[in-house]
Amino acid sequence: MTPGDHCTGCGVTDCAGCLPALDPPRYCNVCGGWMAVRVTTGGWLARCRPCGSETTAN
Amino acid sequence: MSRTLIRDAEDALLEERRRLTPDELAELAALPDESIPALTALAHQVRLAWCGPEVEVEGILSAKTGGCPEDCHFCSQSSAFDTPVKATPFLDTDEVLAAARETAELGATEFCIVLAVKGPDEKTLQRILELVPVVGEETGLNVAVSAGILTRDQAERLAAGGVHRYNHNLETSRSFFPSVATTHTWQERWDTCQLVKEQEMELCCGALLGMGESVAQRLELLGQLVELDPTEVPLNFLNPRPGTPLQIRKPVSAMEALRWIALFRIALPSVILRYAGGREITLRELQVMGMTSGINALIVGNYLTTLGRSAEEDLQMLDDLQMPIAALTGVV
Repeated sequence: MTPGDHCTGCGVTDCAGCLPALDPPRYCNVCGGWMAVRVTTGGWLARCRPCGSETTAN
Repeated sequence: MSRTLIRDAEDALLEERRRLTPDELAELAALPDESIPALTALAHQVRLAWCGPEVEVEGILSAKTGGCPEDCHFCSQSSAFDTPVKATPFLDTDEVLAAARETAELGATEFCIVLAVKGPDEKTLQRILELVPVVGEETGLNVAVSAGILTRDQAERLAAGGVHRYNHNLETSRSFFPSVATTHTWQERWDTCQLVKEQEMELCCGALLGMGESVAQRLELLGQLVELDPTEVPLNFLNPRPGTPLQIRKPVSAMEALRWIALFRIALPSVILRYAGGREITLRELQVMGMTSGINALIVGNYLTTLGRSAEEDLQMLDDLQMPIAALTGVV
């Protein structure tokens, strides 16, 4: 997380990063909105409900 | 004394080929920590003698996440708690198929479609019945389902629809269950497990250790699982989730986890004992030791809402241990 970004664990900007190590992002790094996350065996896809941005890992 | 107890258990399980009594299990559970390596060594012998060296590899998918009306205190998908896991709708068929293909490509033989519901409503049941044959035919995987509490009619329809294994966890003992969930009873879970067996689906019935239960309550659960006689027991260790009532609990220690993996194998010698959630944070670098303490199946890759270690690491571990991957079913 870089200064000014939203924490992907709680969505706020003044958090040093609280996402547990084995969690996909729960909140959008861009806008702090809640992300709908699909976790599969080999990866995950997170889509921000408010702004639509996506992040993924495989 | 410890050596005698372990030798007697070895004779019972490997020579007489009988299951241990509750008193014998309680004596093993009370062994000092120094005896854990001997206990796990016995469990590995029991696993090889009763089940063989094969390991069943499974992938799981949360096809309908969050928004569950139940209040299971360990679960981030309960709508009763303010957690970061929010409700998302049932995945469409293409999404489920893509996830199943991904699982099959890793060499897995089992794929479990999981839904965060109290039990399936008619629309949900119809969707499950549509998905199961499609996933089976398209991927060659055995398809299991976990969709909560069932009625007899629903169990019949799932069995007729090709669900070969149904997951419904007891999670913990009858006596501890009221501390874990209040919106349904342990008896409701037990009844669903019985319905699954009545309909001749394989029963997958798991446990979750580390919620504050006592040793006596773990032994009580083992006795209840022995009575239930499931085909598979997925063994979970609590991963305290943010926002849940159990978020304050500390994970089970690695050595305690190994002790209980061994005790589950010794109590349930023929069961498919699967590594499930929480092993990464509980065992860390000792995960390989679980495979030589009685485990003979694992969930590979990620879990329902959290991530696991990479599938490649697990597959390399099995290769290094010379444990072949195979579909398993109840042995003996």
